[in-house]
Amino acid sequence: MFQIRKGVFETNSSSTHSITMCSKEEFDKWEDGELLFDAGDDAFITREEAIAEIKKTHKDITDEDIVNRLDGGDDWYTYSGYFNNYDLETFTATHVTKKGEVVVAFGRYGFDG
Amino acid sequence: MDLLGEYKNGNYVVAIYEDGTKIRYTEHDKFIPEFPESMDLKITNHCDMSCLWCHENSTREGRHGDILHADFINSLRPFTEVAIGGGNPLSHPDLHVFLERLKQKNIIANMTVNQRHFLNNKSTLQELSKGKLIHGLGVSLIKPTDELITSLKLFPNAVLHIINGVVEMEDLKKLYDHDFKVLILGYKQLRRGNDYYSEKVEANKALLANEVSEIIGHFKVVSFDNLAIKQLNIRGLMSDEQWDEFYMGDDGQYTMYIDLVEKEFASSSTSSRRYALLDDIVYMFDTIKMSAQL
Repeated sequence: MFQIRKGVFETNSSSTHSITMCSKEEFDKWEDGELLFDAGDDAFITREEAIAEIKKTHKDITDEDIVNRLDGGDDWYTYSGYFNNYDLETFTATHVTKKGEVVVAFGRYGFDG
Repeated sequence: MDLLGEYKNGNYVVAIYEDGTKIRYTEHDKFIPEFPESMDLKITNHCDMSCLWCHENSTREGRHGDILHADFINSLRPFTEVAIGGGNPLSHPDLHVFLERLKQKNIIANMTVNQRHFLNNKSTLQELSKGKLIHGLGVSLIKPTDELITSLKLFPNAVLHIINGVVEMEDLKKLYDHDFKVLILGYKQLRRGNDYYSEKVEANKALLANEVSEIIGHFKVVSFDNLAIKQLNIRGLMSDEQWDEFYMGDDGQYTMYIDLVEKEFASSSTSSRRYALLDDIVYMFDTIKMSAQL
């Protein structure tokens, strides 16, 4: 189930949980491998931007190590790395706004215990 | 859209964004909350406006609530919302300290003030908004003026509160097409609202009900409280699918009301069944849920 209150304020858990919203276009690019997801910043980044970030802090890093970092899920998540996490439940839900924009909400969460 | 915060509540997840957008998600077939997502919090009954329709009977002699010693605040969950109102909340001498405490606890404070108090306290309200001491700002409409229209544009999270039966269509039309957000509140036939009630109120309600689908296109966001949803038959404007997706729940289902002046809580401000304030929000919410089953 999915419910949304759009654009207005109304005038916890110890478990892991997250939810993110993005455009369908971004979501599809992520699924196709063009984008990576930065869960810390709750934002997407291109592979090129991610490589530049890595090189900034690891000047002598090899191309092979860069690829390992990108696909390893330590810094950014690939689509499959994000959703194939056995410890957490995941979800996606699609919503079409009044203006016809398709928004995807996705996330993952753990159980109490 | 930047995420303001997220939390797990019972069997579902809630995310709130910087513009107030809230999303609930669960893999179950219904949402079962452990604690309220938001609550109306009356902090004072003091007000110098004497609005004829005021269902709170707020006056210049109205008392302030003891907001710095309300222990239940410590039990509120991060990123739940508190809608602060009165009376005139800006008249409370401890308001600023109280808002700082809420911010420290990551509670999302929203506040509603009357149009005149809004215009007379713009810089204070801007400071509160800038400092993220308040997020949403409700402004109760008296009369649309150029000053109001210009001033509202300074507050991206402002929501104009209008009352079904009190607002006149020609006034509402003056507010069209400025990208404003509007909350339509149902008419409460309570206290002074009972005295003010008349054929004119009914006529205004009928006009608004006729025009409501037209109105929606002229504002950035149009939302309704549960009473207005009933009075304006909003359910009839939506498909079952839209209703399931956008209807955020009955009073007391995810929300509740706390009166810090009288030290009472209830399902909503119009509930006659009220209970003495407790120290824990979960106990209070459990009471609301149980009373709904009686």
